[in-house]
Amino acid sequence: MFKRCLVAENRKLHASPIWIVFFVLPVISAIYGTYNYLQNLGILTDQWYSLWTQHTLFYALFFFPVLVGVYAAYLWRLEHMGHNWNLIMAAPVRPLCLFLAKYVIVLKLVLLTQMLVFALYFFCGKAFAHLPGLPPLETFLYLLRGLVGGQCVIALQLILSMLIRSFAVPVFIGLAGGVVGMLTASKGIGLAFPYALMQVGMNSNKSEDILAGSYGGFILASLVWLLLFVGLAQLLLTRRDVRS
Amino acid sequence: MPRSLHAEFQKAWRRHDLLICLLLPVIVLLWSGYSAPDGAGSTVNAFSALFYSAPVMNAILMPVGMAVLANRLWDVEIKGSFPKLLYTLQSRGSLFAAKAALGFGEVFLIAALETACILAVGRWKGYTEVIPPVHILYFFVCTLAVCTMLFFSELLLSVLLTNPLPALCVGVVGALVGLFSAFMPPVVSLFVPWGYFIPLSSFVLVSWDADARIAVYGMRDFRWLLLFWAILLAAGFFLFTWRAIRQKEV
Repeated sequence: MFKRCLVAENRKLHASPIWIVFFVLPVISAIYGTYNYLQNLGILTDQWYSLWTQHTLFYALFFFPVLVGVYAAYLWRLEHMGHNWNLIMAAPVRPLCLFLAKYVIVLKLVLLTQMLVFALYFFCGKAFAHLPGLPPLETFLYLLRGLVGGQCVIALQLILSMLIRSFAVPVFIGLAGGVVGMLTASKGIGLAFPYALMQVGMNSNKSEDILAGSYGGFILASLVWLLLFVGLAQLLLTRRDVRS
Repeated sequence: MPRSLHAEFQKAWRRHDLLICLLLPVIVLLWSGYSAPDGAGSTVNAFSALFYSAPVMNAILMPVGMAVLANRLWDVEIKGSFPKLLYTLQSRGSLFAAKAALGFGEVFLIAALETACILAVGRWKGYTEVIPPVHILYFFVCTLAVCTMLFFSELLLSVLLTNPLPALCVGVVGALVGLFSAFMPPVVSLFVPWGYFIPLSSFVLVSWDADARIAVYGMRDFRWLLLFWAILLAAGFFLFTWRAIRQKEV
Protein backbone atom coordinates (compact mmCIF):
# COMPACT_ATOMS: atom_id res chain seq x y z
CA MET A 1 0.00 0.00 0.00
CA PHE A 2 2.80 2.35 0.87
CA LYS A 3 4.38 1.69 -2.51
CA ARG A 4 1.10 2.59 -4.25
CA CYS A 5 0.91 5.83 -2.28
CA LEU A 6 4.47 6.56 -3.31
CA VAL A 7 3.70 5.98 -6.99
CA ALA A 8 0.62 8.21 -6.76
CA GLU A 9 2.56 11.02 -5.10
CA ASN A 10 5.38 10.70 -7.58
CA ARG A 11 2.95 11.04 -10.43
CA LYS A 12 1.96 14.49 -9.21
CA LEU A 13 5.48 15.68 -10.04
CA HIS A 14 5.27 14.75 -13.71
CA ALA A 15 5.24 17.89 -15.90
CA SER A 16 4.72 19.93 -12.76
CA PRO A 17 5.63 23.63 -12.61
CA ILE A 18 7.48 22.83 -9.40
CA TRP A 19 10.56 21.88 -11.44
CA ILE A 20 10.95 25.52 -12.52
CA VAL A 21 11.47 26.60 -8.90
CA PHE A 22 13.67 23.57 -8.36
CA PHE A 23 16.08 24.85 -11.01
CA VAL A 24 15.70 28.61 -10.71
CA LEU A 25 16.38 29.13 -6.97
CA PRO A 26 19.70 27.23 -6.79
CA VAL A 27 20.87 28.75 -10.08
CA ILE A 28 20.21 32.33 -8.89
CA SER A 29 21.88 31.51 -5.60
CA ALA A 30 24.92 30.15 -7.47
CA ILE A 31 25.17 33.16 -9.80
CA TYR A 32 25.06 35.57 -6.88
CA GLY A 33 27.43 33.45 -4.75
CA THR A 34 30.05 33.24 -7.50
CA TYR A 35 29.74 36.95 -8.30
CA ASN A 36 30.14 37.93 -4.65
CA TYR A 37 33.08 35.56 -4.21
CA LEU A 38 34.89 36.99 -7.24
CA GLN A 39 34.24 40.56 -6.08
CA ASN A 40 35.65 39.93 -2.60
CA LEU A 41 38.71 37.78 -3.23
CA GLY A 42 40.69 40.03 -0.89
CA ILE A 43 38.54 39.08 2.11
CA LEU A 44 37.36 35.61 1.09
CA THR A 45 40.65 33.75 1.17
CA ASP A 46 39.54 30.22 2.06
CA GLN A 47 38.97 29.27 -1.59
CA TRP A 48 36.46 26.37 -1.77
CA TYR A 49 35.21 27.05 1.78
CA SER A 50 34.65 30.73 1.02
CA LEU A 51 32.84 29.89 -2.20
CA TRP A 52 30.66 27.46 -0.22
CA THR A 53 29.56 30.17 2.23
CA GLN A 54 28.72 32.55 -0.61
CA HIS A 55 26.78 29.92 -2.54
CA THR A 56 24.70 28.63 0.34
CA LEU A 57 24.31 31.53 2.80
CA PHE A 58 20.91 32.92 1.76
CA TYR A 59 19.75 29.57 0.38
CA ALA A 60 20.18 27.87 3.76
CA LEU A 61 18.99 30.81 5.87
CA PHE A 62 15.81 31.81 4.08
CA PHE A 63 15.06 29.96 0.88
CA PHE A 64 15.47 26.30 1.82
CA PRO A 65 12.43 26.29 4.15
CA VAL A 66 10.49 28.22 1.51
CA LEU A 67 11.44 25.69 -1.14
CA VAL A 68 10.42 22.80 1.11
CA GLY A 69 7.21 24.70 1.87
CA VAL A 70 6.42 24.94 -1.84
CA TYR A 71 7.13 21.22 -2.38
CA ALA A 72 4.97 20.22 0.60
CA ALA A 73 2.09 22.57 -0.22
CA TYR A 74 2.07 21.36 -3.81
CA LEU A 75 1.71 17.73 -2.75
CA TRP A 76 -1.16 18.53 -0.35
CA ARG A 77 -2.98 20.97 -2.63
CA LEU A 78 -4.86 18.29 -4.52
CA GLU A 79 -6.12 16.75 -1.26
CA HIS A 80 -7.65 20.08 -0.22
CA MET A 81 -9.69 20.42 -3.39
CA GLY A 82 -13.30 19.35 -3.64
CA HIS A 83 -14.09 16.29 -1.50
CA ASN A 84 -10.72 14.64 -1.91
CA TRP A 85 -10.14 14.44 1.84
CA ASN A 86 -13.17 12.17 2.17
CA LEU A 87 -11.83 10.13 -0.71
CA ILE A 88 -8.34 9.56 0.61
CA MET A 89 -9.44 8.92 4.18
CA ALA A 90 -11.86 6.29 2.92
CA ALA A 91 -9.17 4.63 0.80
CA PRO A 92 -7.89 1.25 2.04
CA VAL A 93 -4.59 2.81 3.07
CA ARG A 94 -3.31 3.64 6.54
CA PRO A 95 -3.42 7.43 6.91
CA LEU A 96 0.19 7.58 8.00
CA CYS A 97 1.20 5.90 4.71
CA LEU A 98 -0.20 8.94 2.89
CA PHE A 99 1.89 11.25 5.02
CA LEU A 100 5.03 9.13 4.77
CA ALA A 101 4.68 8.81 1.01
CA LYS A 102 4.56 12.61 0.72
CA TYR A 103 7.50 12.79 3.11
CA VAL A 104 9.60 10.46 0.95
CA ILE A 105 8.75 12.40 -2.21
CA VAL A 106 9.68 15.76 -0.65
CA LEU A 107 12.84 14.16 0.72
CA LYS A 108 13.67 13.01 -2.80
CA LEU A 109 13.11 16.52 -4.14
CA VAL A 110 15.26 18.02 -1.38
CA LEU A 111 18.01 15.48 -2.08
CA LEU A 112 17.93 16.42 -5.76
CA THR A 113 17.99 20.12 -4.85
CA GLN A 114 21.00 19.60 -2.59
CA MET A 115 22.75 17.68 -5.38
CA LEU A 116 22.03 20.51 -7.80
CA VAL A 117 23.41 23.03 -5.30
CA PHE A 118 26.59 20.99 -5.00
CA ALA A 119 26.91 20.49 -8.76
CA LEU A 120 26.55 24.24 -9.32
CA TYR A 121 29.06 24.92 -6.56
CA PHE A 122 31.57 22.58 -8.18
CA PHE A 123 30.93 23.93 -11.67
CA CYS A 124 31.22 27.60 -10.64
CA GLY A 125 34.31 26.87 -8.56
CA LYS A 126 36.03 25.33 -11.54
CA ALA A 127 34.68 27.36 -14.44
CA PHE A 128 34.55 30.88 -12.99
CA ALA A 129 36.60 30.96 -9.79
CA HIS A 130 39.30 28.64 -11.24
CA LEU A 131 39.82 26.99 -7.88
CA PRO A 132 42.42 24.21 -7.74
CA GLY A 133 41.62 20.56 -7.12
CA LEU A 134 38.28 19.22 -5.95
CA PRO A 135 35.95 20.73 -3.32
CA PRO A 136 36.95 19.61 0.17
CA LEU A 137 35.16 16.57 1.53
CA GLU A 138 33.81 18.71 4.37
CA THR A 139 31.58 20.68 2.00
CA PHE A 140 29.99 17.44 0.83
CA LEU A 141 29.52 16.52 4.47
CA TYR A 142 27.87 19.92 5.11
CA LEU A 143 25.45 19.11 2.33
CA LEU A 144 24.53 15.77 3.88
CA ARG A 145 24.17 17.42 7.28
CA GLY A 146 21.85 19.96 5.70
CA LEU A 147 19.74 17.08 4.47
CA VAL A 148 19.68 15.48 7.93
CA GLY A 149 18.64 18.78 9.55
CA GLY A 150 16.26 19.51 6.70
CA GLN A 151 14.22 16.37 7.41
CA CYS A 152 12.51 18.06 10.35
CA VAL A 153 11.62 21.02 8.15
CA ILE A 154 10.12 18.63 5.60
CA ALA A 155 7.97 16.89 8.23
CA LEU A 156 6.87 20.18 9.81
CA GLN A 157 6.01 21.80 6.46
CA LEU A 158 4.02 18.71 5.49
CA ILE A 159 2.00 18.98 8.72
CA LEU A 160 1.40 22.69 8.15
CA SER A 161 0.31 22.11 4.56
CA MET A 162 -1.93 19.27 5.72
CA LEU A 163 -3.64 21.45 8.35
CA ILE A 164 -3.80 24.73 6.44
CA ARG A 165 -5.93 24.56 3.33
CA SER A 166 -4.26 27.57 1.76
CA PHE A 167 -1.34 26.93 -0.57
CA ALA A 168 0.52 30.11 0.27
CA VAL A 169 0.32 30.36 4.07
CA PRO A 170 2.54 27.34 4.92
CA VAL A 171 5.15 28.68 2.50
CA PHE A 172 5.15 32.01 4.29
CA ILE A 173 5.38 30.26 7.67
CA GLY A 174 8.44 28.49 6.24
CA LEU A 175 10.03 31.87 5.49
CA ALA A 176 9.17 33.14 8.97
CA GLY A 177 10.62 29.92 10.41
CA GLY A 178 13.83 30.51 8.47
CA VAL A 179 14.19 33.99 9.96
CA VAL A 180 13.50 32.77 13.51
CA GLY A 181 15.82 29.81 12.86
CA MET A 182 18.61 32.21 11.92
CA LEU A 183 18.08 34.16 15.16
CA THR A 184 18.03 31.03 17.34
CA ALA A 185 21.10 29.58 15.60
CA SER A 186 23.03 32.80 16.18
CA LYS A 187 22.04 32.63 19.85
CA GLY A 188 23.60 29.16 19.98
CA ILE A 189 20.33 27.33 20.58
CA GLY A 190 19.84 26.14 17.03
CA LEU A 191 19.32 22.51 18.02
CA ALA A 192 16.17 23.49 19.91
CA PHE A 193 14.41 24.86 16.82
CA PRO A 194 13.66 22.68 13.78
CA TYR A 195 14.13 25.41 11.18
CA ALA A 196 17.63 26.17 12.53
CA LEU A 197 18.86 22.59 12.22
CA MET A 198 19.32 22.75 8.47
CA GLN A 199 21.16 26.08 8.75
CA VAL A 200 23.45 24.67 11.43
CA GLY A 201 24.08 21.56 9.33
CA MET A 202 24.96 23.50 6.18
CA ASN A 203 27.56 25.62 7.99
CA SER A 204 26.82 28.45 5.59
CA ASN A 205 27.90 31.51 7.50
CA LYS A 206 31.04 30.37 9.28
CA SER A 207 34.50 29.40 8.06
CA GLU A 208 35.00 27.05 11.00
CA ASP A 209 32.73 24.07 11.55
CA ILE A 210 30.02 25.08 14.03
CA LEU A 211 29.12 21.45 14.64
CA ALA A 212 32.65 20.29 15.42
CA GLY A 213 32.42 17.88 18.34
CA SER A 214 28.64 18.08 18.66
CA TYR A 215 27.46 15.73 15.94
CA GLY A 216 25.69 13.54 18.51
CA GLY A 217 23.49 16.39 19.70
CA PHE A 218 22.72 17.45 16.14
CA ILE A 219 21.69 13.98 15.00
CA LEU A 220 19.72 13.38 18.18
CA ALA A 221 17.89 16.71 17.86
CA SER A 222 17.09 15.99 14.19
CA LEU A 223 15.79 12.54 15.07
CA VAL A 224 13.72 13.73 18.03
CA TRP A 225 12.07 16.52 16.02
CA LEU A 226 11.39 14.15 13.12
CA LEU A 227 9.80 11.51 15.35
CA LEU A 228 7.79 14.18 17.10
CA PHE A 229 6.38 15.50 13.84
CA VAL A 230 5.64 12.05 12.40
CA GLY A 231 3.89 11.17 15.67
CA LEU A 232 1.91 14.39 15.49
CA ALA A 233 0.93 13.65 11.89
CA GLN A 234 -0.26 10.17 12.90
CA LEU A 235 -2.28 11.66 15.74
CA LEU A 236 -3.85 14.31 13.55
CA LEU A 237 -4.69 11.92 10.74
CA THR A 238 -6.28 9.30 12.98
CA ARG A 239 -7.99 11.40 15.67
CA ARG A 240 -9.05 14.47 13.77
CA ASP A 241 -12.22 14.49 11.75
CA VAL A 242 -12.08 15.43 8.09
CA ARG A 243 -13.40 18.86 7.21
CA SER A 244 -14.05 18.82 3.56
CA MET B 1 -19.45 48.68 -3.50
CA PRO B 2 -20.07 48.84 0.31
CA ARG B 3 -21.84 45.47 0.10
CA SER B 4 -19.00 43.93 -1.90
CA LEU B 5 -16.47 45.34 0.53
CA HIS B 6 -18.44 43.94 3.45
CA ALA B 7 -18.46 40.52 1.76
CA GLU B 8 -14.70 40.73 1.23
CA PHE B 9 -14.22 41.63 4.90
CA GLN B 10 -16.22 38.58 5.89
CA LYS B 11 -14.11 36.36 3.63
CA ALA B 12 -10.95 37.93 5.04
CA TRP B 13 -12.17 37.30 8.57
CA ARG B 14 -12.73 33.62 7.79
CA ARG B 15 -9.32 33.39 6.09
CA HIS B 16 -7.64 34.95 9.17
CA ASP B 17 -6.00 37.57 6.96
CA LEU B 18 -5.41 39.76 9.99
CA LEU B 19 -3.02 37.15 11.36
CA ILE B 20 -0.90 37.37 8.20
CA CYS B 21 -0.99 41.17 8.41
CA LEU B 22 0.26 40.94 12.00
CA LEU B 23 2.78 38.18 11.37
CA LEU B 24 4.81 40.29 8.91
CA PRO B 25 5.45 43.21 11.33
CA VAL B 26 6.04 40.75 14.18
CA ILE B 27 8.85 39.08 12.20
CA VAL B 28 10.32 42.52 11.44
CA LEU B 29 10.03 43.38 15.14
CA LEU B 30 11.81 40.17 16.18
CA TRP B 31 14.49 40.48 13.56
CA SER B 32 15.21 44.18 14.03
CA GLY B 33 14.97 43.81 17.81
CA TYR B 34 17.62 41.12 17.66
CA SER B 35 19.96 42.74 15.16
CA ALA B 36 19.56 46.35 16.32
CA PRO B 37 22.74 47.82 17.82
CA ASP B 38 22.79 48.68 21.51
CA GLY B 39 22.45 52.36 22.33
CA ALA B 40 26.01 52.61 23.53
CA GLY B 41 27.43 50.11 21.04
CA SER B 42 29.85 50.37 18.18
CA THR B 43 27.40 52.16 15.92
CA VAL B 44 27.06 55.87 15.54
CA ASN B 45 23.45 56.86 14.66
CA ALA B 46 21.86 53.66 15.93
CA PHE B 47 18.34 54.72 14.91
CA SER B 48 19.55 55.32 11.37
CA ALA B 49 21.17 51.86 11.45
CA LEU B 50 17.78 50.40 12.29
CA PHE B 51 16.10 52.18 9.39
CA TYR B 52 19.01 51.19 7.16
CA SER B 53 18.50 47.47 7.84
CA ALA B 54 14.68 47.52 7.54
CA PRO B 55 14.61 47.69 3.70
CA VAL B 56 16.82 44.58 3.52
CA MET B 57 14.34 42.72 5.74
CA ASN B 58 11.54 44.03 3.54
CA ALA B 59 13.27 42.79 0.39
CA ILE B 60 13.29 39.27 1.86
CA LEU B 61 9.87 39.21 3.50
CA MET B 62 7.55 41.44 1.49
CA PRO B 63 7.63 39.77 -1.97
CA VAL B 64 6.55 36.48 -0.37
CA GLY B 65 4.17 38.21 2.06
CA MET B 66 2.45 40.15 -0.74
CA ALA B 67 2.23 36.98 -2.85
CA VAL B 68 0.50 35.26 0.07
CA LEU B 69 -2.03 38.10 0.55
CA ALA B 70 -2.84 38.41 -3.16
CA ASN B 71 -2.97 34.68 -3.61
CA ARG B 72 -5.43 34.15 -0.76
CA LEU B 73 -7.59 37.01 -1.96
CA TRP B 74 -8.21 35.36 -5.33
CA ASP B 75 -7.66 31.69 -4.52
CA VAL B 76 -10.78 31.68 -2.33
CA GLU B 77 -12.86 32.26 -5.49
CA ILE B 78 -10.93 29.73 -7.57
CA LYS B 79 -11.32 26.94 -5.03
CA GLY B 80 -15.09 27.26 -4.97
CA SER B 81 -15.38 28.09 -8.69
CA PHE B 82 -17.09 31.28 -7.57
CA PRO B 83 -16.29 33.79 -10.35
CA LYS B 84 -19.11 32.36 -12.48
CA LEU B 85 -21.58 32.83 -9.63
CA LEU B 86 -20.25 36.19 -8.50
CA TYR B 87 -20.34 37.71 -11.98
CA THR B 88 -24.04 36.99 -12.21
CA LEU B 89 -24.76 38.58 -8.83
CA GLN B 90 -22.56 41.65 -9.01
CA SER B 91 -20.59 43.63 -11.54
CA ARG B 92 -17.00 42.69 -12.20
CA GLY B 93 -16.09 46.27 -11.34
CA SER B 94 -17.51 46.09 -7.83
CA LEU B 95 -15.85 42.72 -7.19
CA PHE B 96 -12.46 44.04 -8.28
CA ALA B 97 -12.90 47.36 -6.45
CA ALA B 98 -13.74 45.57 -3.21
CA LYS B 99 -10.79 43.19 -3.52
CA ALA B 100 -8.41 46.01 -4.44
CA ALA B 101 -9.63 48.17 -1.54
CA LEU B 102 -9.29 45.33 0.96
CA GLY B 103 -5.86 44.38 -0.39
CA PHE B 104 -4.64 47.97 -0.25
CA GLY B 105 -6.02 48.29 3.28
CA GLU B 106 -4.07 45.19 4.36
CA VAL B 107 -0.89 46.50 2.74
CA PHE B 108 -1.41 49.89 4.42
CA LEU B 109 -1.85 48.17 7.80
CA ILE B 110 1.35 46.15 7.33
CA ALA B 111 3.40 49.21 6.31
CA ALA B 112 2.05 51.27 9.22
CA LEU B 113 2.63 48.51 11.78
CA GLU B 114 6.12 47.87 10.46
CA THR B 115 7.08 51.54 10.77
CA ALA B 116 5.61 51.61 14.29
CA CYS B 117 7.55 48.43 15.20
CA ILE B 118 10.85 49.95 14.09
CA LEU B 119 10.18 53.10 16.11
CA ALA B 120 9.21 50.95 19.11
CA VAL B 121 12.46 48.94 18.87
CA GLY B 122 14.43 52.21 18.82
CA ARG B 123 12.61 53.51 21.90
CA TRP B 124 13.02 50.15 23.67
CA LYS B 125 16.78 50.16 22.98
CA GLY B 126 16.99 53.70 24.28
CA TYR B 127 18.30 55.39 21.14
CA THR B 128 18.74 59.11 21.56
CA GLU B 129 19.19 59.97 17.89
CA VAL B 130 16.35 62.09 16.53
CA ILE B 131 15.12 61.04 13.12
CA PRO B 132 13.35 63.84 11.22
CA PRO B 133 9.64 62.91 10.95
CA VAL B 134 9.77 63.51 7.20
CA HIS B 135 12.28 60.64 6.85
CA ILE B 136 9.99 58.35 8.84
CA LEU B 137 7.08 59.38 6.63
CA TYR B 138 9.18 58.81 3.51
CA PHE B 139 10.13 55.33 4.77
CA PHE B 140 6.45 54.53 5.31
CA VAL B 141 5.41 55.85 1.87
CA CYS B 142 8.20 53.90 0.13
CA THR B 143 7.28 50.68 1.94
CA LEU B 144 3.63 51.23 1.08
CA ALA B 145 4.31 52.04 -2.58
CA VAL B 146 6.60 49.07 -3.22
CA CYS B 147 4.36 46.66 -1.29
CA THR B 148 1.31 47.89 -3.25
CA MET B 149 3.19 47.40 -6.51
CA LEU B 150 4.17 43.85 -5.47
CA PHE B 151 0.65 43.10 -4.26
CA PHE B 152 -1.03 44.08 -7.54
CA SER B 153 1.60 42.27 -9.62
CA GLU B 154 0.88 39.10 -7.63
CA LEU B 155 -2.87 39.65 -7.86
CA LEU B 156 -2.52 39.96 -11.63
CA LEU B 157 -0.70 36.62 -11.79
CA SER B 158 -3.25 34.99 -9.50
CA VAL B 159 -6.10 36.18 -11.74
CA LEU B 160 -4.37 35.13 -14.97
CA LEU B 161 -3.28 31.69 -13.72
CA THR B 162 -5.67 29.50 -11.79
CA ASN B 163 -2.82 27.57 -10.19
CA PRO B 164 -1.41 29.55 -7.22
CA LEU B 165 2.04 27.98 -7.58
CA PRO B 166 3.48 30.27 -10.31
CA ALA B 167 2.37 33.47 -8.54
CA LEU B 168 3.89 32.35 -5.27
CA CYS B 169 7.08 31.20 -6.96
CA VAL B 170 7.47 34.59 -8.62
CA GLY B 171 7.29 36.09 -5.12
CA VAL B 172 9.91 33.67 -3.77
CA VAL B 173 12.29 34.11 -6.71
CA GLY B 174 11.65 37.87 -6.59
CA ALA B 175 12.68 37.95 -2.93
CA LEU B 176 15.91 36.15 -3.76
CA VAL B 177 16.72 38.37 -6.74
CA GLY B 178 15.71 41.51 -4.84
CA LEU B 179 17.98 40.60 -1.96
CA PHE B 180 20.91 39.86 -4.24
CA SER B 181 20.41 43.11 -6.16
CA ALA B 182 21.30 44.94 -2.93
CA PHE B 183 24.81 43.51 -3.11
CA MET B 184 25.28 44.17 -6.81
CA PRO B 185 26.32 47.50 -8.41
CA PRO B 186 23.65 50.15 -7.56
CA VAL B 187 22.38 50.34 -11.13
CA VAL B 188 21.29 46.67 -11.01
CA SER B 189 18.84 47.33 -8.19
CA LEU B 190 16.93 49.79 -10.41
CA PHE B 191 15.95 46.88 -12.67
CA VAL B 192 14.70 44.64 -9.87
CA PRO B 193 11.32 45.92 -8.61
CA TRP B 194 11.11 43.29 -5.81
CA GLY B 195 14.10 44.91 -4.14
CA TYR B 196 13.10 48.56 -4.63
CA PHE B 197 12.92 48.93 -0.84
CA ILE B 198 16.72 49.17 -0.78
CA PRO B 199 17.52 51.81 -3.45
CA LEU B 200 14.58 53.89 -2.22
CA SER B 201 15.89 54.01 1.34
CA SER B 202 17.04 57.40 2.57
CA PHE B 203 19.40 55.86 5.13
CA VAL B 204 22.95 54.96 4.08
CA LEU B 205 26.10 53.50 5.53
CA VAL B 206 28.53 56.44 5.48
CA SER B 207 31.63 54.68 6.73
CA TRP B 208 32.75 51.42 8.30
CA ASP B 209 35.96 51.19 10.26
CA ALA B 210 36.79 47.48 10.24
CA ASP B 211 39.61 47.80 12.81
CA ALA B 212 37.65 49.82 15.38
CA ARG B 213 34.39 48.11 14.27
CA ILE B 214 32.56 51.42 14.15
CA ALA B 215 29.84 52.01 11.58
CA VAL B 216 28.53 55.48 10.83
CA TYR B 217 25.11 55.83 9.23
CA GLY B 218 23.55 58.89 7.70
CA MET B 219 20.72 60.16 5.55
CA ARG B 220 20.60 61.05 1.91
CA ASP B 221 18.18 62.90 -0.37
CA PHE B 222 14.87 61.27 -1.17
CA ARG B 223 14.70 59.46 -4.50
CA TRP B 224 11.48 60.97 -5.78
CA LEU B 225 11.91 59.73 -9.34
CA LEU B 226 12.27 56.10 -8.30
CA LEU B 227 9.36 56.44 -5.88
CA PHE B 228 7.26 57.89 -8.68
CA TRP B 229 8.29 54.97 -10.92
CA ALA B 230 7.26 52.48 -8.20
CA ILE B 231 3.87 54.19 -7.87
CA LEU B 232 3.52 54.18 -11.65
CA LEU B 233 4.27 50.45 -11.74
CA ALA B 234 1.69 49.87 -8.98
CA ALA B 235 -0.90 51.81 -10.99
CA GLY B 236 0.04 49.83 -14.11
CA PHE B 237 -0.40 46.48 -12.35
CA PHE B 238 -3.69 47.73 -10.86
CA LEU B 239 -5.00 48.57 -14.34
CA PHE B 240 -3.75 45.31 -15.87
CA THR B 241 -5.43 43.33 -13.09
CA TRP B 242 -8.69 45.17 -13.68
CA ARG B 243 -8.37 44.44 -17.39
CA ALA B 244 -7.66 40.76 -16.68
CA ILE B 245 -10.73 40.44 -14.44
CA ARG B 246 -12.91 42.28 -16.95
CA GLN B 247 -11.85 40.11 -19.89
CA LYS B 248 -11.48 36.76 -18.16
CA GLU B 249 -13.75 34.05 -19.48
CA VAL B 250 -15.45 31.99 -16.79
